[in-house]
Amino acid sequence: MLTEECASTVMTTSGSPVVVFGRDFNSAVMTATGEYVFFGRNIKIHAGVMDLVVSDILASAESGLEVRDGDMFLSNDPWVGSGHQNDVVVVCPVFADGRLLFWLGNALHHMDIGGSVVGGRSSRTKSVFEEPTIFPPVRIVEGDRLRPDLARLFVRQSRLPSYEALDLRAQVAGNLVAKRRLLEMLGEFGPDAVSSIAETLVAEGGRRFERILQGLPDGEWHDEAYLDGVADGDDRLCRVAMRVVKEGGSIEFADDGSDPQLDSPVNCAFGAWRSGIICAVMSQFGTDVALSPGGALRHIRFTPEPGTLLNANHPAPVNRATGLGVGLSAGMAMRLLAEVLCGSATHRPKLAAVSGSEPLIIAGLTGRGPTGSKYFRVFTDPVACGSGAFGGGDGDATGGSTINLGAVIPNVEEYEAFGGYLYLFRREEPDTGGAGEWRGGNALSYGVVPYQVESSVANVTGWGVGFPTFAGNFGGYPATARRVELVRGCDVWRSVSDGCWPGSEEEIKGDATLLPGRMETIDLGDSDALILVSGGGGGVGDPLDRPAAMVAQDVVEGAVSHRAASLLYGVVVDDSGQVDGEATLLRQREIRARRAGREVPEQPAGAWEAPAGPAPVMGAHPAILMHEGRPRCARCGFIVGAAARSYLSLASARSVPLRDRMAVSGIGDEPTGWGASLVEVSCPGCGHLFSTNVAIDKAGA
Amino acid sequence: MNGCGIDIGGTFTDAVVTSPEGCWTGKAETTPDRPAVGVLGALEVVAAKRGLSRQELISDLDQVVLGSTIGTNAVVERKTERAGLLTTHGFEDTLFVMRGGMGRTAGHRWDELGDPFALRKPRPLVARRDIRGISERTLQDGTILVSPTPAEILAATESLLSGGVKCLAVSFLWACRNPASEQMAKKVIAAEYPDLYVSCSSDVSSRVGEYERTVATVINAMLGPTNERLIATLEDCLRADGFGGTLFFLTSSGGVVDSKGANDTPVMLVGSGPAGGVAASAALAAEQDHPNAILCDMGGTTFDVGLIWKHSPLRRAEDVIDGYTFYRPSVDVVSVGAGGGSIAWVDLEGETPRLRVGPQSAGAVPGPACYGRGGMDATVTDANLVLGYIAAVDYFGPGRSLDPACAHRALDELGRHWGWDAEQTAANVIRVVNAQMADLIRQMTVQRGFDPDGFRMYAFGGGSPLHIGGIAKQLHGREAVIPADGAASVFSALGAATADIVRVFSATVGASTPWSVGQIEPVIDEVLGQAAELARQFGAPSLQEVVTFTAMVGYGGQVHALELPLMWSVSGGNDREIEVDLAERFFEWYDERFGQGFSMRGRRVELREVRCILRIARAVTSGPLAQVHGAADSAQVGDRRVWWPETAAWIDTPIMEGERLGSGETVAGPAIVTLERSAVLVHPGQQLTHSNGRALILRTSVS
Repeated sequence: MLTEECASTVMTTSGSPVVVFGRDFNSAVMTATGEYVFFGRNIKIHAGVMDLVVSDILASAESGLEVRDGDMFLSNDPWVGSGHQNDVVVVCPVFADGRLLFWLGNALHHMDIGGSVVGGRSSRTKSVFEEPTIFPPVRIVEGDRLRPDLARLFVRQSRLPSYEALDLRAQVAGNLVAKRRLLEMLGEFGPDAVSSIAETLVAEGGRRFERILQGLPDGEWHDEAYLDGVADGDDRLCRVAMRVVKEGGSIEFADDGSDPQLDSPVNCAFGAWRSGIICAVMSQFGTDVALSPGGALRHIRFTPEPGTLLNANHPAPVNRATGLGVGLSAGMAMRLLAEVLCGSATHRPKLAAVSGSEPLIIAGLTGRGPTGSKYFRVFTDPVACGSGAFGGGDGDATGGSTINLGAVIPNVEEYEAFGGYLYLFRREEPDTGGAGEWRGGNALSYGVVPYQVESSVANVTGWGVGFPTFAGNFGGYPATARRVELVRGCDVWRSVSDGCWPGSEEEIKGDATLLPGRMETIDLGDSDALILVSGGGGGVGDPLDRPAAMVAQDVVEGAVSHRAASLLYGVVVDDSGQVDGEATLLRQREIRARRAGREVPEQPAGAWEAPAGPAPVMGAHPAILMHEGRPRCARCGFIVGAAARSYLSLASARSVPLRDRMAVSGIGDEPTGWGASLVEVSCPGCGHLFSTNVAIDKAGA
Repeated sequence: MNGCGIDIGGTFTDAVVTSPEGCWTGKAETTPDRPAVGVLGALEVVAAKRGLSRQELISDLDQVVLGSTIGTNAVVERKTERAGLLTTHGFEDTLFVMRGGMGRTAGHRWDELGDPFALRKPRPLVARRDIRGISERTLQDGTILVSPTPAEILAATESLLSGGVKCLAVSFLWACRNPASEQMAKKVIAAEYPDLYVSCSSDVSSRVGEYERTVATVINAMLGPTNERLIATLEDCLRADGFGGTLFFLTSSGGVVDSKGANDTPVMLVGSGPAGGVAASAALAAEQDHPNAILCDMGGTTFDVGLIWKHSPLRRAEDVIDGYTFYRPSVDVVSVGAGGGSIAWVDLEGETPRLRVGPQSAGAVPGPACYGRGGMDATVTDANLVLGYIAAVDYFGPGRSLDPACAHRALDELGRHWGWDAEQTAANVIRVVNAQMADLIRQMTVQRGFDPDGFRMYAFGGGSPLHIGGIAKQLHGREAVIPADGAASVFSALGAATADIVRVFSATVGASTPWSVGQIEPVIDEVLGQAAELARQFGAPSLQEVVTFTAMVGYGGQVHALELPLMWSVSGGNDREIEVDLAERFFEWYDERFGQGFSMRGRRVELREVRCILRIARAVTSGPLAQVHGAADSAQVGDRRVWWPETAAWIDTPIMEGERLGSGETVAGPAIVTLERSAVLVHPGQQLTHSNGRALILRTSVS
């Protein structure tokens, strides 16, 4: 309730569309020592930061910074806790009977607080000194009143001072409302009772988390992800890695193996990295942790390796961290936690694959209107990416990211009201979600064309364009790569004068080029259309396990094309939506044979019968059972690994060109580029698909 | 004139008949499949009280106003006609995209948002095969870039109808700025298919935002045919009984429309039941001179909370049904599933078993366990009975009593999880349900920036008077007002009976300070024109008397906007004060809520939208509710053993009859004051006073 009261106050007082539409803020209640009691429902990216700010203030208190009743502190220091400089944290101590009992806090993405470009996210900075000003915790509120001098100093940094003034007040007001309510509760039930309830909640949450972990097999898991370039004109490949060690009732996250930090804004600091991991923990553990993560954090160990891309040292440029490092670490952690938690029957159906907006892609348009006035627009449409599939359900098309639930995109009319461009279409893009027994959600695509402007320049910032980045779980395919397409000299206006509205990509004819994900300046003329396809969600499970009738339904509903149905699901559907049973059987056998590397018998050799009783899932993969001490394929009994810790070491791994597995093509699908391919790990006995990974041949880069 | 208000609730259908001689009430069980049966049943009860036959009563009525909660469920369960959609080519997926995450979270409580797996988009309102893109395009300034061709519209309609579609929604981009293309489509379709129900977005909402406008239009189309039949059936039933007057319908914004209005925009009728209670409260609050009130309506299925602030009911511009957000002006009422019929159950998810109440309801059938109709689950009503708060005898009318043994059994069974007996369980059920209601009240006030201290609580519906004393204690002894004279349990129907004809017309402005009268005038003229036409139809005497204006105002760049009254003379001569005045009141609002200086006076303020509210009073004479008993020496009619949480003990408690309380008379707690189909619990430490007028005032002594 408290976090909600704070949140709704921020929503109604904030000036920012980022906040109101994107819900890019969050609020929390913390104990006197800064442990989360409750966490708001909005974007979880702010998860890893507020408690760090409180810890920093408490540590500074030891060296003389006083924390007094009626104070609030503001911070946007990435090395204290903020995800990046634009995420401003305001925390508020709550006292009763002269004792510090609680902290309230909220974090909010500010539109512009200075730096070398509008919005602060330049791709050319070499160090943090070219980025928005950093404020370590400062006392912004004294005696419940905003300090006018500091408020001025803060707002003075911005190109959009009026927005900043509103957003700063919104944060203060949010804390005030929550504080009023908390004081009411303290008065009603007594400070001791309330703080002991809070402590119990945190402790209970911690014990619950610990017990879930204790019920799962121990192990160590690794994942890695690649960035398809650094900046406009800098196509260096970056590698980030994650290692998870689960032992007994605790879990450790490490980033060793990640590339060293760069003098380009692709880095993130500890708080952002930790935040990405907490997002994934809250999503995958669901209601057990989501609204009260403080207890879980007692059992999570973070082991950063300073100086890497994910744990960069000052003064590395970090202001793009939330779109990048946070998303990448959240994505890797989502996937690894799915394996860690797979042994829990209650969690397994809810475990989500990665959604298509981590990291985010953003397009902006700047230009001059007919009257010479300048404008600047940001398209946040890709926030409506495809949601990752679950262990027991499809991901929603355009449902948004699981770690940023509820992020809303503006209506087309709300965008167009500003003038300067027209939307040609906005739709769900078939085949963009990862294939799987459970499908990843399809992506949003949209096309815009400048309208009644003197000049127009677009810029695009984002990753996941060169090759698929949003991975699938347990044999599900990754979502297709995102796409940025420029169509020069298109015939939109000819169609219009012919009385036709060209409302789809197929109807927009012109000189089309696929662009990389980072373009600082794309000059757009009257007849140049820009088309963007956001990310889809990763799939879960072998697509051959999806019932043919469901695939046929997907085809009828336009979510999956006939080609993809046959290519990935092995289901042959005719034009009326009927499944051709015989052709499907043949096609699926062909796919299995290809994966296994040999003809696969209809009834697998040995006609293996799974052990009776509840299937003893190995704990890291739903399709692998431990039987007589060996990891076996749950489908055919074939021994696929040497031991529990190396449960896929005897499976067949084959590298396939991406274009052979992606029903929608993008730039990275060509063998040039970064030399990306898809590795399919399957059962040599029956061809069941256990895992898919995008592999990068660095030599090809 | 003889008027009548009907409220078809989830559990009961209430009727109030007003005439110069007095006011009579009746209650019958709701019949979800054939609502007319419940309506006639409730009227039958009224007729019996007056010693008339139903036909005699009905043939004497001049007006009947119907308010109802039906519609919402029809949409949620997709039990409506299959709708097709014609929309701008390129934007066929608007209803699936659902503005991204809005589709996964809208309408969910915050505590449901920790489980991403449970938060998935709802079933489509319209199947993809029932959507056709039309090659057309209008722009934000109203320019038509591409006109739709009649041939394409007819071909699309034809293919949808042959696919099995029964009604049609037409929603084009920017129809809110220029409805010409939509209206052309409607005309072309009507010429070819005169019986097809067609709903255009420009007729449903003039607001910018294609998603919410399209959803409103589609829901309107889905409900259209069923609603037409429902209205016809009801009208037929009443006519068959000799009704010769006019049938009106209560809208979600608290006003009434005639049959034509109801047929054209059925979406405005969805969930209109609570709006009746808000209308009746506004009238009572005006009489009592209470500027601010929290309205608490507890029926059989839900607990609804609304707000009156500075004499006006709080409104909202959008709503959510089954995860779909849509534009539709309504009184701002929020609900939790906590009514008399709400089922108490054990939640075994957590560490220890937890007692929960609702949202599942036992409904009218089988009803609470104490109804003795085979309901096995313990409900709030069972708890109230076991603790002595309500009397078993003659609960449903003479000779029709509740069965305490069934209630005991159900509560006993539930209490086993904790080792509680039936009484302990009952006390805990009441504690949980009161806490839920208090939470909802906080949500409705604190979260909207209101300090609940400046408000009185209005308690009506069958259940609220029973719980309001307990809630008042949780909310720092706030003063509560209960409608007297048996009106409490039929307050929504009373509101329907007396509600004004209200329509809201709005248009977008887009001016910022310093704005001029010249910028606002043409827009006001536009909405005023629409209002004037309707006012003429209803024979309103003077336009100035029936219209008021509000303005949506926000800081430059702020997404949220405030609705503030706008002083405007329809006969012209509006002066330059408008800017200063509006902006000043806007700043005051912020300062009042968040502290002096918060508002940043001098900042640019935008006037985004003006609304013209047409309100025509109907000539309803509402006499006092019929007094069954004359004045008596004492209102006390007996006593009963009642369990009070304050003393955690059973106390012999006087039972008073509310209708025998004289004006100014005060009852000190513990006491139970019975009302028709309800009762007020006066807890120890509280006093109930019959104020002058039609209200009982419950006060809590604050120690």
